[in-house]
Amino acid sequence: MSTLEERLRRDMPRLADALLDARAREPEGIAGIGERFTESTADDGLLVDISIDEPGEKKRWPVLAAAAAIVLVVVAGALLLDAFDGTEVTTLNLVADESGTSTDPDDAAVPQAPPESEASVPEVDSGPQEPSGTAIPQTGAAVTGVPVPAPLEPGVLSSGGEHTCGVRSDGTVECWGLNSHGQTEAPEAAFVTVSGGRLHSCGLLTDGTVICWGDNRYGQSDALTGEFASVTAGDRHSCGVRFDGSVACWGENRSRQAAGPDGQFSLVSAGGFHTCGLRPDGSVACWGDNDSGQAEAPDGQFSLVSAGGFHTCGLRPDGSVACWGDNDSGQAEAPDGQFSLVSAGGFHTCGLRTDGTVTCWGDNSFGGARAPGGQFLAVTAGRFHACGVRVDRTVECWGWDWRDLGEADPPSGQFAAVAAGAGHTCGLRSDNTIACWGDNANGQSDPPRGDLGEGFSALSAGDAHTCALRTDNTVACWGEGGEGQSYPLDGQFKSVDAGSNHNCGVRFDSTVECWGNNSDGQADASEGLFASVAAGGFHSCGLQVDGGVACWGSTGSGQLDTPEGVFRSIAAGRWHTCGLHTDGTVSCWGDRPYGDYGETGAPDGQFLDITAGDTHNCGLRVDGGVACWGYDDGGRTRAPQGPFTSVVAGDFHTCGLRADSTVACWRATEPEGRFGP
Amino acid sequence: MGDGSGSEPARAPVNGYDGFEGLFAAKRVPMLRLATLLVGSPAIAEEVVQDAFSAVNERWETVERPAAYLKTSVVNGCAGILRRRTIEQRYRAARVEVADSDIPEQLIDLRSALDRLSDRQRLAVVLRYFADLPDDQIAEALGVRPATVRSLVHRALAALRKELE
Repeated sequence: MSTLEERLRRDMPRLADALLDARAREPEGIAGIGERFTESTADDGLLVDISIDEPGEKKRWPVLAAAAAIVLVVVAGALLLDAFDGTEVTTLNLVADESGTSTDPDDAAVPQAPPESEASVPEVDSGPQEPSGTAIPQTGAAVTGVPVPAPLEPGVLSSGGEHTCGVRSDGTVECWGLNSHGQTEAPEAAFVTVSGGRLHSCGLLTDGTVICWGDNRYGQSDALTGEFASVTAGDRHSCGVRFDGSVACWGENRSRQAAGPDGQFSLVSAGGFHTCGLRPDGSVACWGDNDSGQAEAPDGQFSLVSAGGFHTCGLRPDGSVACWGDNDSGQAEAPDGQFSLVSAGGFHTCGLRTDGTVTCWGDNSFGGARAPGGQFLAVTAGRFHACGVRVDRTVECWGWDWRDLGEADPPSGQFAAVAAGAGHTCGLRSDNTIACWGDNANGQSDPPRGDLGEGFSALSAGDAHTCALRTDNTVACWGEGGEGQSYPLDGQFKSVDAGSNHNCGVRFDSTVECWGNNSDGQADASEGLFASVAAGGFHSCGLQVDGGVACWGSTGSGQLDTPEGVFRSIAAGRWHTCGLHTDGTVSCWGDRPYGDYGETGAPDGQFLDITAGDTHNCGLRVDGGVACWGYDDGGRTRAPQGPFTSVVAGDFHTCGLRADSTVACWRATEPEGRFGP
Repeated sequence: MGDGSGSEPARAPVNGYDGFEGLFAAKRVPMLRLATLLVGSPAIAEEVVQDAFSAVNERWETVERPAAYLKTSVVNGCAGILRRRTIEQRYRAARVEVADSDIPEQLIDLRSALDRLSDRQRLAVVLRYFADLPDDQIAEALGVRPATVRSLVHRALAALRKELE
């Protein structure tokens, strides 16, 4: 591929995002741009009528009937959901909605004035120049005083755009959910609080400094130096309260959202494109975007404030909640009753009542406002989801799960083999048919039904396609075919292995042939005699009949730098390769071009078989147990109890075939364990 | 073993998606990106994508592969828009909407170069290098023969090379 072609593939998605992103920043979409098109295309019957009205005219939304209501709800918010097609997530910054940015962290922090509460934190010598925070008013909880469960300190749990971070009882932070920009990769440090932004996260360390990680295109992760009493992460900006009560912000300032006013604050909360702070006297001041009135705080005293995507909510000293700003989804219509915490999300709001139950209101397109019953100690609202800390300090989340395609939900019944793709999984039944589950956007989960009485004997799944060996040893592939990966070569194969977008198979004469994407030569098989072959992301490796390994394709990450030794089997991941030595030990090599997730650090001990995924690997132990290593991201390496007879790793999930021939899968999900002090 | 019965996925999605809502959630952004590249204007892209979703929604019960149908609708919608506009119109409209200063510097030349291609060249390039469609599908979308697609891409690359390299 020429450099121009490479640049087109690389930069066109970025250009699309940049254009969408720029538009999303505009106050109101400049819909028609002054031109008028009204026409109906009439090509293949499949065509859609296009008619773009001039600016002022309201689109044809009304035409969309009831069923489209969902669309309206979402569109109304102007948000663009990140969409992960199973492929690697590139940038999707599209929207500006901050959603989640749940300012909660801070807000939570509300009650106790920063200075002091923080003071409780470790040592911050910086003597509060002025006891600013001191004067802080009433804590919501204090006011209500209902003795049920006392809410947790703020900042224990905080949801961002499509991710959530929590401080564990040992002071470490764990984040889960969308990791498009490294926003879930919390550094190892001693944390006091954490705040999830749209695509980044910030945490307050015990030494009073702030550290941020994740997206930094707007400087939102370049935390200012010095000591802080609290920190909050917004859409593209972040803010903190200093020990002297002043507010300092960094990141995007296009809407003046990072230009905090003078004076003292006891806490600050960064929203979509606005920021609100609680003054020591209990009044709230907001700055930044005010197109929906989100920066027009009502008069009166508050004990907590939480800035959401385009709205803001505050907790009054009497426990009531007041919200202002965008109310298109009802997110600013706070219900009556007494609350001890409130968290404004992207388009919904959640509040912790003084009786410990959680109530959410506003957009419920993805169930983010459908809080489960029972008691909680804390709640935080993200863009389309929310999470709460239960009284046993475990975390429970609801609403939009950024990427649950169902690939880890196998059907019941018995299988003889299983294969994991990027977002789908297929299993071979004992009657030689195949069943697939998960992502089917490209038909990768639609196996041929075998009208001709054909059956299958083996299978392998790529990113968005699947290949299987028929019982007559010919190959069938289905799903994404843009690179030719689902158009197999004719003739018989002994085995076949599907890579990201290419496949390789071993012929009966022990030669290897590959087809599909050949951008890096990954389909130009080496000559020689092979016992098996493994197709990875942009490379392929063959196990030679003498136990040696030959690889071809992309060399960029060192995935072809095979160590010395004699191997029993080999597995190719997206950017790396693992080999099982004849003595049962495992070696992995190759680094992905960005970020090291530890996928090349194989554990000690002996294995019977290995599998390599996108950023993680698993091995089958001699006792049937499964050990996984690499990027865990909330669960993909946490194999359940065995015994298993085989294991396969996908991008975000892992599946194993149990000894009883049923399939068990696990994937990134909300973490286990306890949060909070 | 056999079993076989009750073997459907526990949460078997209709048409591969968990309802229209699921399709919308998964495909809205990818379709917006595609349409934005095709027509050069995020605003118009949004309209096209909305229309495509409403078309899918109306036919939800009968469409077998809604994602594919959606993509085709978006491509057709964009092609229809482009057929009715001159390059100058499109160029001007897009600039009014998003100024060059609003996108990263290193993408400005690519944007200009793509804008200056003919509509058919642009469609061919975007569909091949962004949407990863094979030539026969691009040909179908453009209503031309696959050989024409190859020639369009060839000429487009030559033009882009002049501007970008």
